[in-house]
Amino acid sequence: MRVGRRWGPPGHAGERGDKRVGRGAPDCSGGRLGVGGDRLVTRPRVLVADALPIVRAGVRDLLQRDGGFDVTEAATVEQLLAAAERDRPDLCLVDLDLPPSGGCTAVRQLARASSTAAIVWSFDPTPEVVLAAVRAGAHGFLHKAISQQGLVRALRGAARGEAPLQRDLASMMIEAIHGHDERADARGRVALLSLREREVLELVAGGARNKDVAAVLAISEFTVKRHVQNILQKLALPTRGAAALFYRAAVVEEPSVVERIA
Amino acid sequence: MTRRPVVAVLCSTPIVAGAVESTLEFAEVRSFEAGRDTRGLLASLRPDAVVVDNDDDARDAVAVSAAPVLHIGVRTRSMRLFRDGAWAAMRADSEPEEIRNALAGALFGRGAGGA
Repeated sequence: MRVGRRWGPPGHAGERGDKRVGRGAPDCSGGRLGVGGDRLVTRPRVLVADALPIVRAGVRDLLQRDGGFDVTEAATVEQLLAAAERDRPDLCLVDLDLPPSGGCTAVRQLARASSTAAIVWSFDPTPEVVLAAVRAGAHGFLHKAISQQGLVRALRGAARGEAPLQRDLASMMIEAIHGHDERADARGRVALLSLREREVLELVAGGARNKDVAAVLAISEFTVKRHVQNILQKLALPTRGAAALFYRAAVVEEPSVVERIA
Repeated sequence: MTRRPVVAVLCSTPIVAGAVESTLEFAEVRSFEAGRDTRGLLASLRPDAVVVDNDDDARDAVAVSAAPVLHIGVRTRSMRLFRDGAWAAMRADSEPEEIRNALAGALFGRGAGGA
């Protein structure tokens, strides 16, 4: 929470994608008076970034009415970054699918540019997405189907420095971390292979038969068989099918995550 | 229509339900959790208009109710209004006031079949 911030330049209020609302009136020193009006109370500022005006309006009305927050809005990543630089909010509530490049991109750029705590939310979070958001710099992750009271509680907690993460999402993140650790371990085992063995394994994982591998690498089928035996021995795997699955799990990133955080 | 129209809001996203309620100041809004026997609920309630936020409820609402149905596709970022037997697309980035106006037009506009 910041103290003594300027209310903001005139002409901004009510502009599309840049709305300021709140019950507190600006005071002479640049802070805002609380509801009682007799002592200076700063209100946490939340920047709500979502493409849909109806979602932004819902959050804005709720936080204004029940949360004691000041709210600004953004509809795109670009607007979010501009508003964050201009208004220096305490919190950003960011849609995972914020156009054009997604909430993770926005959070990553935001983390580089400011100390604003970003909370990402989405309708269908997966373990990988939650982990990707946290890795990008998110301070928390929420379901978009969260109750109104739940959202207010989560953001109040975030304003106090807590990291809002619903119970099921915490489990998801732990699951994703374990998956990541397993992938890291598998990558370490793949590193034991020679360059040629890795080339063979990559082709095998892609479904190539020994004859195909031999043709692509310009080596004999006998040599391919020997490479495959070495690969299975080094990776302690029973079959080439298992090796193919292992390689895909170890090396190939999940496309959904890559696409979303690209 | 002399009484306030009844608008049934069936949303899986409480934040959206709250926003819709706030914008329909002219109506008596009844909010319900989405996806729980929508057909039975609407057959009993017989609202003057329906607001939904998912495909299943949109389909059920159109099947069971003659009232206008506003479908706010929060996941798909789409918006459409069912009236006079057909869906008409709305801009997904419609402001709350535009949503209110569309529903008001469906309820009170010339030729609208209100209560």
